Amino acid sequence: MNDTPISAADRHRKATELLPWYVNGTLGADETAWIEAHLAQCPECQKELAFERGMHANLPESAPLPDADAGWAAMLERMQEAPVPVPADEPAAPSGHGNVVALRPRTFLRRPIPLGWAMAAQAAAIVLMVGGSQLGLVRSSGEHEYHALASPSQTGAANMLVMFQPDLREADLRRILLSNRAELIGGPNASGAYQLRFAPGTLTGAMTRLRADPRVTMAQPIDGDGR
Amino acid sequence: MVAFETLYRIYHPRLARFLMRIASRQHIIEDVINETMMVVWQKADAFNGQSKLSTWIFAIAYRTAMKSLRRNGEPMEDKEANERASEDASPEDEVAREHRRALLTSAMKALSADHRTVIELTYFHEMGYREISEIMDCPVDTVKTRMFHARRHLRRCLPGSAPDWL
Repeated sequence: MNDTPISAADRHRKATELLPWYVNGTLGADETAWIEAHLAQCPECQKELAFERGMHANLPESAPLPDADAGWAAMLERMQEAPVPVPADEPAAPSGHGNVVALRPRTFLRRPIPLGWAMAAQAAAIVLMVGGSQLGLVRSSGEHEYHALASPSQTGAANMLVMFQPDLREADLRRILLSNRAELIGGPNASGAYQLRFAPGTLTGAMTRLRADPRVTMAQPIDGDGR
Repeated sequence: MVAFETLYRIYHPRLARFLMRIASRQHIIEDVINETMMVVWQKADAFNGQSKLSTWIFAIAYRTAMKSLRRNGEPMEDKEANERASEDASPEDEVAREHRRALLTSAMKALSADHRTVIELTYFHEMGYREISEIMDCPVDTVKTRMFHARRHLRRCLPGSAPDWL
């Protein structure tokens, strides 16, 4: 033991603080190695570790969970009564605009757009989230099974979600895909979003071109690592 | 809408589990879940992917729950539960695991909502301290300190030595 009494106390306090996250396995490699070294020579922390493991294993279940079906039914009612989705950094459309709302799904979409399209764009953002869930970015509860809404194809994962003007002709869509060397992986889904795959190294350039194209209303990379 | 329903159903049990530890009234829990998911629906485009999706949604749920608790006047801390736990903590109880769980439940209720949140996110949802600090919008050291004090409180309320838990 080369530690001075003070530094030993500090190390002990630090180890005690970190123990819960050592037990739940979320510490990084460095902290894990550090705490294991401390545990090896600290009987007090070893006792504390046993307590922590007991806590972790015995945390009582709460009462039965509320019913998700009933919750979803209430949610639907609530959504019908709620105002149209408006981003936090965007003031709501002034009244008297009928079914037009100022919606800005991303910085590249700044014009007032029809309500239906606004909802579709909002839904596309949700699709991205669910896609993330299906790709393992969200731990599933294990109580439900869902089919993937934005899951990768067998040949290669989509790396961008793209939406086009609703009246875009098929020939134009094809030209956009070819000129950007994009591969169609899936879609359109219910929101009108297509899952595309771009060759490695071309993604950023393609995204810039697509976002500059007035026929494209959304071009959002699908982030594979969940960060 | 199908995608949102999917997201809703993925998160409903997780948020319910989390919120039941913070708030006790059923109608508040259901209300907070739907208020949280309404924010997710309305601000989906504001999610910039800098944090994990679960962190973002749990942070909304935490803020919504705290507001709701204040609005509804629900006690953030149950002093009576603390006393119940202390009174019950006699050596005779050491062998009864179920009784221990009851004590633990009672001891948990005596904690503040912030302390319960840290315990719940760590032990049940198995989150790291950085993620918890993002959800609670507080420094990492505050998370560690809250956990430290929460554990000390729980230990005080529970009889027996550590190996009895195993």
